Amino acid sequence: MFQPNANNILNVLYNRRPAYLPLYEHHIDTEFIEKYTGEELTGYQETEPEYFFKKITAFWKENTYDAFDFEAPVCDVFPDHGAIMGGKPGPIQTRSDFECYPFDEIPIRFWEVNKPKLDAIRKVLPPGMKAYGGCGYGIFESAQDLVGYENLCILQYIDPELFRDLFIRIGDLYVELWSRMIHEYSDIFIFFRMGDDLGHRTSTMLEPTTIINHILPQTKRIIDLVHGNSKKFLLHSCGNIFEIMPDIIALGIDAKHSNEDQIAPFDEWIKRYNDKIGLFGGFDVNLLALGSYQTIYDEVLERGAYYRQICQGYGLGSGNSIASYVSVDGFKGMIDAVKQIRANEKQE
Amino acid sequence: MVKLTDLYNAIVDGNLELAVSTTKESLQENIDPQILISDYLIKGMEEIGARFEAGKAYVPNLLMSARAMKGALELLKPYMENNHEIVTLGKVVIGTVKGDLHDIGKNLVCSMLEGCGFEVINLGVDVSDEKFVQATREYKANIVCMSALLTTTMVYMKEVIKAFENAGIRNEVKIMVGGAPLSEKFALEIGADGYSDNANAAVALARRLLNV
Repeated sequence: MFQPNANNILNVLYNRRPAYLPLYEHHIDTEFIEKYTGEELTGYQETEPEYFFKKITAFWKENTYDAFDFEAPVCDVFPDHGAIMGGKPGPIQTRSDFECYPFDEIPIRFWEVNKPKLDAIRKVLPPGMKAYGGCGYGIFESAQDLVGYENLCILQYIDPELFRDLFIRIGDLYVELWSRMIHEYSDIFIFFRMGDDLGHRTSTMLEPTTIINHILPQTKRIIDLVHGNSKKFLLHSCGNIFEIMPDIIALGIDAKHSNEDQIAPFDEWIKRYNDKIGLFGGFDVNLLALGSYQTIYDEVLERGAYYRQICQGYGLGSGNSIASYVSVDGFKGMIDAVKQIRANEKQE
Repeated sequence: MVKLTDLYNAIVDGNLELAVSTTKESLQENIDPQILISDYLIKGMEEIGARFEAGKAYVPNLLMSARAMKGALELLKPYMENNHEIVTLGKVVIGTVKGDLHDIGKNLVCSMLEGCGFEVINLGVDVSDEKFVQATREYKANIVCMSALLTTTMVYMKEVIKAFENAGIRNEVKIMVGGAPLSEKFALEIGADGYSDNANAAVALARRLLNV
């Protein structure tokens, strides 16, 4: 019976080789876990958080993960939000919208919604297992949700002062939320993580200089908070962000996750950053969604062993998340291959 | 005398104010609107598109250029209508397919197509085959654009194409597809007329498909 050891996966954040190959996912959708276990879980996170997280952590443990993901989503408590995935225009379009926006209410709403969940996790964590994550969403994603991506792109030119002030205000909000998260819940998190998708298929979502001048300084405030409390920091960021990776690494991140084969093979990430930071992922979500058990098993066994061999800090998983549409067989193929890699190493 | 290169530069630099003022001056000087469009506006969009493809411009630059272009086209519209000429390059019905709620990429394509002179009917997200067919008929669209971000929803595009065949109007429209998990190969397999992997390429493809 597998016994999780969160300190094992923590080694990746120190960019050193864990004793055995750890598994990692940005997220595993509740719908997927329902499909896998046959148990209904949707809705229970709010109504019966202890029951929900008991089931969720049991699933992660059964699949031999050392730690599981939990993010308390910041954007979800933004009043009138919905520009990301909600198809709505963002609530902030003008200076006046910005001045009137109830930023001060957000921490109250955030803790009302998330404290019960965090407290439940603390109660039900299986021995040896911890969570990773923290406050969900990133600085850029929050700006997108408040303004809308296209309007945000335009705003930087038509009202640069508002654009600047918006990111500073989001940064202030994040510092407030993260400070309490770190202060009250460091015991349940093995490391902290921020997710902020900064790239698309061919380049960054905003000009690199804009990201460097407006977004990264706010991200750095959170990284410093995390490090100031002797914790490690993982950045999850999708898309083609190679142009700004040197600046991101200079912020002091300890590890990076997210890779897409259409942008670059995982080997490229290893070649460029293996000596600087820990790396997670390796296997494109499309492979896990479309491949058969055997195809995935064979590929993960071969490439996973290779990554394990050549990387310093490495945790294996999908390039993003186990979405609801990933096949159970595909997921099992990946898990079984990792178990085999571990077993092979024991025999060596 | 108006400096027409300002119009080109306004589009490349995404300068709406300059695009509008230069267009106004040009019209006051009775310069043919078609010349403004073909020789300066479209050329400007082509230049910013080329810079984007070369990694020298970013999505915000494209959007600013499209915004400037749209501002100029708004001024040209009445003149074009009076001359009974074609006001738009074509009509496009666009949407993210059923089951998929992602819309950033699709909206970028909308902005770029509009900015470059297409009339765009944006059906939003989670769009069914029926809705695509109905909107195409209603607006007499020349192009249908479908977007999907998920591996599971991209397969629905095939059903939409089938719905156009069943409705007997498949040959009346060009069908373009795009989205992160897609590829040229997939587009061919499902019987689409074209695939593009970014908003700028989508405009180029739309123009190529309609020969405009």
